[in-house]
Amino acid sequence: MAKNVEYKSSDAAVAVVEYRDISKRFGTSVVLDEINLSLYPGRVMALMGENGAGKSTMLSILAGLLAPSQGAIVVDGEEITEYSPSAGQASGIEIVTQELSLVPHLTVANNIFLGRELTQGARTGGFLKSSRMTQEAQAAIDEFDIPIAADDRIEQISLSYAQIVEIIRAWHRRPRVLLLDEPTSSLTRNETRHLFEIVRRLRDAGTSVVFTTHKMDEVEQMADDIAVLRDGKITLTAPIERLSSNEIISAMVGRELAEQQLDLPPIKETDPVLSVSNYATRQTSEGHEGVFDFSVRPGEIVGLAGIAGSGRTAFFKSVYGLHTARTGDVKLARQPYTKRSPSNSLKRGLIYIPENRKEAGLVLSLDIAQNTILSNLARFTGPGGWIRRGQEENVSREALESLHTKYFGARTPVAALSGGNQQKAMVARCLIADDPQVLLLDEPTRGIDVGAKADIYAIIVDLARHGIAIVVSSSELPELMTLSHRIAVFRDGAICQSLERDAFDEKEIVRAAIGA
Amino acid sequence: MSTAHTETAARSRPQKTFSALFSRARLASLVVWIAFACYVVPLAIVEPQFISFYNIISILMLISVYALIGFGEGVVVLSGGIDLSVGSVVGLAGVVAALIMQGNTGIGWALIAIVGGVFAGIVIGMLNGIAVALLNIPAFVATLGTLSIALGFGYVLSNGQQISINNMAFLDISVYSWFGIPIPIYIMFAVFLLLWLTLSRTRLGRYVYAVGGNIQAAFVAGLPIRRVLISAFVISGALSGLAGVLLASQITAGIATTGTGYELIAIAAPVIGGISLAGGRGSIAGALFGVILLGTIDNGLTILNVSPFYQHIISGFIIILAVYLDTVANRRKLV
Repeated sequence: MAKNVEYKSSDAAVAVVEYRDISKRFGTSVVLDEINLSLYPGRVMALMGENGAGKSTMLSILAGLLAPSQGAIVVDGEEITEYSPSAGQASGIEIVTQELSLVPHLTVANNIFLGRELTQGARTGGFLKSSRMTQEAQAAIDEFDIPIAADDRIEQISLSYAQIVEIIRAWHRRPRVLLLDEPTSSLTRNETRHLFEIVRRLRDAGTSVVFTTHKMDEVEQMADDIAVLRDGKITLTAPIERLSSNEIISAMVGRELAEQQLDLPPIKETDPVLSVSNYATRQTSEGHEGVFDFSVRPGEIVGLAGIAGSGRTAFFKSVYGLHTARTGDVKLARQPYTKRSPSNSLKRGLIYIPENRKEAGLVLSLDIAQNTILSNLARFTGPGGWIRRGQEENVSREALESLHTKYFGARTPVAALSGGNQQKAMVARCLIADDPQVLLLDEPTRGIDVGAKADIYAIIVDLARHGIAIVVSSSELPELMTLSHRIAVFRDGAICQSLERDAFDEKEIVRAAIGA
Repeated sequence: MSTAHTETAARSRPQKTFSALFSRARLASLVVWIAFACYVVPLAIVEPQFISFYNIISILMLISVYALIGFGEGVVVLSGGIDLSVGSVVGLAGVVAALIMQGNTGIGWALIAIVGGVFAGIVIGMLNGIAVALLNIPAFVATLGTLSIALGFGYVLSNGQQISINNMAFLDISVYSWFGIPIPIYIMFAVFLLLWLTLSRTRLGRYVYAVGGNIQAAFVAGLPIRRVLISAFVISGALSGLAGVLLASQITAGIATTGTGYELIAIAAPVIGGISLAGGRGSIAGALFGVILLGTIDNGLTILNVSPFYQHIISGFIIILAVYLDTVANRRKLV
């Protein structure tokens, strides 16, 4: 199915840089597996693949932010020996990463020249040629035609302009290869169009550009060539005009995961316990309908699919009351639920387990029992707020044991648990809750091992069997397809498609998620 | 899946993390204890009067005021904040108490004065709590502001003068003793016991630890974050007020500036005793230990005839050492 087409771009036959048998391992996990790829001047390559396929790692190695475990980067026919950001820059390779790397309190000009300031006299001790730098920076900004001034501070301009300043900074060094890691993720449609114009100009000037994206329309607009990564391997490279979207999607999907047969409980044929209507978590952007409806019935498991940043987490947070929604109504157990906050949600049996359990889920300085009981402490306190410690310990132990958690006692610090067991400690909160109705699970299996994943699946199914409605988001499609009665696909902040279990089709879901 | 194998693997892994997590923290507090012993033991040998009953009582008497503000500060630091206003509250509470008793004798007025002083502390604590919890002003800045506000009110109320106290019942607080132990020492231990139970055994205490340990997780778990933060600042204000009342009884006057500079001791004591400045870790017993350590050092240096000027320098170094040990224990980097 996957095809590797050897090709040379028409007039520039010599590659600027090549990946030669590049592998990258972190511990035991292989992130990149013998990558071979050539980049040519004057071409734009789109690098595609699902979350965790290895795209960012690929760019980081080329820019010298990471060293390969094996293989080498070849620049102008010579193998690179040193992997460092400065070595990468010296070979004419610039990267714009997903995280902003500008100094907020400095001006645009200061940032563009950061580390390469023009000075009078000594290189580090000398006086700065400020006006000249400002002039040069302004000239660069004007070329990109955006309404900011060189002496604006970064914190004064919008995030998307800051993103463009990063690109200007990279471009200002006249790179031969420009790497953009998801450059459009924080840009509006207009700004994206603008960015693409800039990229086209760089390409026409002979720069080789690589960008990663999840969005099919961007690939069609922008790329000359496409490379698809899956599980650290390149499954497809070809010029865009020779490909159909079907071929691209085939190359992306099919990640292997230990298939597990789950016996899903029947859904209770009653009214939905949670329903949202006319809902939107984002400002609706021009020409795009961001409003959607969603509901889940008791005993039903609904999977939320979608690329990173597609709005799944924002949906959870706004329903639970951590964020406010732009618009829309929420009904919980047929009652309108308007004054949403975590404590109100918990009172009504709506429980949310966040994706980043160490930052937003657990209090690492407390012990296991204290963490599992945290939301329901009121039930274990007597007059004067006195905590009944014995009861607290017993209840949390019972909950943890029913989840097959491996631990040494309810009074050991939760920080000492493995990732999977920490996740179970979070889920235990749901078991201890007074009257759980709906459980929102955000990426419950991220970063935990296969055995713990199987346990979590079993727990989810078991909770559903007890009549709890479950909404689970995951970046791993096979997981959702095993686990859910129904899958709702998020794109650009809204649900764009919904599939029942007997109609699950991986390609169909990916197509909806990337908008192909 | 071979169950036996996975189980042993799972068992050995957390064991290791567990010991690694705790050895550093324990080591750090151990170092402080050893340093304390290295100071006390030789001193007791050279100057036997150092460990006499009389001297121990005078150390405890000296620290009773510090201990109260140190406890309050300990609660605020555990909740993830800091309270710089405690020293000014001590002065303000003393002035308020002295004003209430002007020309009023008798035990009734003495009690009203005590309540009034504590109430002044509660008001400032409330202000701190509102500023931090409702207006989202960083605790450092908010309490720096109330430091000045409380001091200013102290000056205004006393007109910049010292207000002497003649109410004998009130002055008796620091003179009277049961079984040879003055009342302020009983008060110190009673407050300690109460706070220790509150923090380790009640819902409020648990919430203080949770909010200080991870405010985001506490919010997601549905905890009443704002109420917890306000409560911590009110406890600190009330205890600073009580400390101010006791101090006024000892110096027989209300003076706006009596507590100036006490915030240093108040913050140093819990930190020396292992309460993490990052919040969420430590015990109120640490604050008691910290204040005992600081008081003992002061007292020892006095016995050794070291100028009080040097005492400041030495205390400063001890505080830096304690914070350094705290960062080592929590593997935090300051930069």
